[in-house]
Order: sequence, then structure tokens, then C-alpha cells
Amino acid sequence: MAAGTESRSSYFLFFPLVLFALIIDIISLPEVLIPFRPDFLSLFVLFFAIFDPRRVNIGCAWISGLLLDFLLGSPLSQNALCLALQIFIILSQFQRFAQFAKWQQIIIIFVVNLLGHVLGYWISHLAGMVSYGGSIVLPSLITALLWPPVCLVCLFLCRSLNIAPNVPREN
Amino acid sequence: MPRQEYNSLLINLRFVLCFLLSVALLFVDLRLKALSEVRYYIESALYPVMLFADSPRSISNAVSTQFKSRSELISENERLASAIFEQRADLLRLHSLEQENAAMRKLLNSPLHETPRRMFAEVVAVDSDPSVQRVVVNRGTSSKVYDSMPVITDEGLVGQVIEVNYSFSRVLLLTDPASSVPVVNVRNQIRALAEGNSLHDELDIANVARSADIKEGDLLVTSGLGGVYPEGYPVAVVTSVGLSDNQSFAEVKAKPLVDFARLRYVLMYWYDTKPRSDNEDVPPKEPTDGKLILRQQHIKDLIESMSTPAVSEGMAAVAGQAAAAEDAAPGGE
Repeated sequence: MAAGTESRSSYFLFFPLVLFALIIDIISLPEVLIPFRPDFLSLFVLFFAIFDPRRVNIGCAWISGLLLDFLLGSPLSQNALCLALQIFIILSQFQRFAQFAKWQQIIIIFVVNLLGHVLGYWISHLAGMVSYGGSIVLPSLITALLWPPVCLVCLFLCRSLNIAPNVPREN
Repeated sequence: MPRQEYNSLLINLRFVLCFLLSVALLFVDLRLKALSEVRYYIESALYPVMLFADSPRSISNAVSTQFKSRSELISENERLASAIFEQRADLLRLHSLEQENAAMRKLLNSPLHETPRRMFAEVVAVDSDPSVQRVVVNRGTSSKVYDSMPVITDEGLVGQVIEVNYSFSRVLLLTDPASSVPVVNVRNQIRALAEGNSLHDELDIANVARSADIKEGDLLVTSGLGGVYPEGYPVAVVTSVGLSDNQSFAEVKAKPLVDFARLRYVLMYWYDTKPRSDNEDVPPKEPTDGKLILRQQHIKDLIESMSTPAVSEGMAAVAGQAAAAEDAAPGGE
């Protein structure tokens, strides 16, 4: 650990937050709110992929998505692939994502999340689970708008729990 | 910078690996159906998470029942008592009707309808994807739930089990786009298919000819065709019949009798499609209606009438021979 012996690994916060996001994803909401369910899982995974890219990478995102697949009973690796794709696009195309302004980040997350949802719909169509109607734009919009508060909360938690990213020693 | 390039190469490599793994998993899961065993164990292990996710609802239910006022409880108790009283009275009639029906069916030599086993189950989770209409109930293979098992409530049909795990199972609701139920109109026995369209309070009745006699307010019950759902359970009430000249079929919508938005308790229904062969009371299908009995009787009579003179002649011949032999014997002595 480069950041000193007292700082903890970010897995210490990552796994509880992923569990929390999975529970939020399957929790039963009133009928009115179901179309607006935000995608907390991708927000948490994205935060850690930026905060500590050496520990939390596309593989972690994929496994988290796979857990969601098991919980939702969807075709295996549908959500896993969507999540991995979202993280991949942001990590490879926006390498200075953390330095962007918040509104730019919101726009990027909105577009990328929408792309992920489109891929998910495509896979569920391939699987024969036909679905008509229902907006896929709204959940992505809400997810993107939730990025600043999620980011703030995660940063606060990392500070208070003394969690530091794994920084390479030589640079 | 070589470090940068190395990093982006690593990211690309990881994504390609995940992508290939995903495609392979999708293929194995959807085409080969080879992962059902793995799914079974992992999903059974994830059941506590599901229960935990349901806890807000169950806790709020428990709290709201805790805080009911005394007068509310008393009035509810009275209402329930009177409902039970009425239903007991109905049940008396039902028993006699059941016996009568059994006797009639025996006369017709149809297999008897047996009251099947049912089991109470609680909905513990609703699949959150808005495009699918499925719920999770808290009974699984440990309670002998099987795949494609019908699920009902006191109001009507709910759907069928599509996935069974050790302690829970997934139920495909009628309103899911992947579900279609063979139904029959109670008023005139017209058959149709009720298909879901992912709205929780609407069903499409598919492929109804424009000339078919189907009206608003008609009750649709399961027809028992297809062998998944038992016969005669109410499914939906027709809400609208749209006839337009440019379509070859009538556009019929129906409202399911079960309110899926507030589904809480269901009954798992053990439906045996094959009539039981070890039932001694009912002989196997054997044509015995009135005409056939008469015909068999007629044939029997015919045989008898043809055979009786021959037999008597034969007897007479035998007797004659014996007499002749007796006559000859003393003569021979």
C-alpha cells in the first residue's frame, strides 16, 4: 500500500455499496415509481472505477452485473455485459473523466447509461422476452442526475473510512 | 507515454475478455439451457438478499396491522365471520354438487375431477424490470413445486411457474408479454387466447374473428387446452371490443380479475394433466352409452337364439346315441 498502513482498501466500501445497490435494484417499489428506478449499481461501480482503477476494473463491473442477473432472473450476463460496456466506454473514451465539470459528467453518464440500456433491451429481445412501450430514457436521465450526490456521498464515505486508492509506487 | 498505452491496452483486453465471456454465457444459457443447475444453486443462495429487499414492504405491513384500532379490528372480524358463515353454507351445497357431479361423470365414464392439492404461498419479490411481469413466491422444490405449475388466487388465475429454486420460484403473470392462456367464453364457449401486453391491468384477446360473438362484460375462463392450466378458472372480463374494417381480426381487450399490482398471497395448484390410472372406481374408457348397450344386448340375444337350437339338437343327438347304445348293449348281451 503506497498511501500508508492506516488507509484501507477500497474493497472495504465497494462490496457493501454493491450489495446495497443490488438490493435497491430488486426492492419492491410502488407501481407508479417502477419506470423511474435509478441504476445505482452502475453509478457506484463507475465511481470506484474512477476512484481506484487499479482495484475496481471492468472485471469487477462484470461480476457485479452478473449478480444482478442472478437476482433478476434475466438471461445470464445481460446486465453484466451492459455494465462492463458502460465502464469500458467511460474508461477508454473519457480518460480525464474525473477532471470534467459535473454537468459534462452528467451528460456523458446519461448517454452511456442509455447505450447500456439499449444493449440490455436488445439482449432481452434476443432471448425472446418481448417488451413494448415503456420509456428507457427516463431511468437513464434520473441515473445521470443522481451522479453528483452519489459522487459526494461516496467521497465522504471514503474520507471518513480512511479509504485510499491503490497508487503505483513508482511514477 | 508507454504507461498510458499499456493501461488502455489492458482496458481493451479486459473488455474483450468480458465480452467474449458474456457471449459464451448467453449462448450457453439461452441456447443450450446448460446452466440451469448452476443458476438453481446460486439463486437459492441469493434468496436471503431477496427477502431482505422485501423487508420494507413486509415491515410496513406488519406495522400497519399492529396499529389498527380496536374498532377496526372488531368490524373486520365481524365481516370475516359473516363471510365464513356464508361460505360454509355454500360449501354444504358444493359437497352435494360434487358428489352428484362425480356420479354423473361415472355414468358418462369420464374421468373424475379430484380436488387437487393446493398450497399457500406469499409473494416475496416483484421483478423490477418494467418490461417483464413476474413475481417471486416463497415456495420452491423443497415444497415440491414444479416447473409450469399453475398459480391461482381466490379471485382467479395468476399465471404459471417458470423457474423453480430450492426455496422460491418465479411466477410468470398472465400480463407478461410471453404469457398466453387458452380461454373460453363462458356465455357461448368461444375459444380464444389471452395474451399479456406488459400492462398490469390489461390482456389482449388474440385472433378473434370479427364475426365472433364476444361482448363487453363476457367472462373468460381457462379452457384447459394446452395442458398447463386447469379447466374452468376465471381469467378476465372483456372490457372492449373494437371492430375496424381494415383489420381482419377484432381487437378485444380484457381486464384480469386478479389485481396484479397488489398481489400478496397466491395458491400453488398441483394440476395432474394425466388422469390417474390406479383409480379403481373408474374403469378405463369403454363405450357404454345407451345405443351401444342395446346393440351388445342385441348381438348377445342373436348369438343365443342361433346357438340354443343347435345345442339342444346336439344334446338330443347325444342323448339319442346314448339311448341307442343302451338299447344296443342289452341287445348284444
